Amino acid sequence: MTTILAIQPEARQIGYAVFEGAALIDWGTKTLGVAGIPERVNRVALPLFRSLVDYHEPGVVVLPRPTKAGGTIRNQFLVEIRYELSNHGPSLASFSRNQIQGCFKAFLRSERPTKDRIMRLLVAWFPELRGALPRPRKPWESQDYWVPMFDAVTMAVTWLHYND
Amino acid sequence: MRNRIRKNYLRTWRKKLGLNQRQLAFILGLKSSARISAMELGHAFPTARECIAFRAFFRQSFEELWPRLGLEVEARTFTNIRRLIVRLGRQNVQSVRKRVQINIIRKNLVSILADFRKKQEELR
Repeated sequence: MTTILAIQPEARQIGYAVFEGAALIDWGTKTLGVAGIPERVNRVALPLFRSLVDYHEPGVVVLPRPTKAGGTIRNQFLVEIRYELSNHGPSLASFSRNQIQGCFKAFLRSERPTKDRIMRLLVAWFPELRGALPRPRKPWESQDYWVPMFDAVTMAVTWLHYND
Repeated sequence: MRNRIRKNYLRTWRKKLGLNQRQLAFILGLKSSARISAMELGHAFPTARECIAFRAFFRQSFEELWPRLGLEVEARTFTNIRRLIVRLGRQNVQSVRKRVQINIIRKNLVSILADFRKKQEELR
């Protein structure tokens, strides 16, 4: 059974999900704080990543595709992770937003695969995530604390969909 | 690709119920969450009382929560059984009664080992 570690780094939080086969075994979000980008990456994001790799010993690490803007926290983190895993360790996989939406279109049929609908579908599949489900976001509201974790679960499910 | 058995599933089951470490420690009657943290990280192993509490609370057996430890202990036990069989075979016993007793023990141990091998082959 392959262990899959999916990580979604955002500007303020980092979300993660760990699957063993099709079973969700660990999930969570960690705040990155308000320091500069290098500190957020080196002091919080990378130690969290290393501890997750040590603890779960994943076979695959699933990451989002880098954004076009160069200096974002996501891109910095992805560069660091790719460097760290370049010589040995788990294999890497990454998915674009279109690939993820393409995967969930099959599950949602007539509905558009928006983040909110995907999160509701994930809660139906994994009831343990119900407590973290945010209410639908208004255009003037900022992203909920738990959304990066749901994004990580989404990426892991996408990997399972394309590989199993 | 590496495929290993994880240290334990205590964290998974705790999170499934939405509990934090302090709440689980309270349920087990512990003063702080340090022991729960140590068990989750694989630095400490549960006592017999804690195993019973986990089985009652999570409805998961010890082998399901600590699969790696269960396998390790099982493997070590059967290595020791094999060693004991060899040691008993080497013993030079004069008394007929004791020799008969040793043969009975060896037979019992060999049948336990055979059962274990059969179980392992079924798992494969």
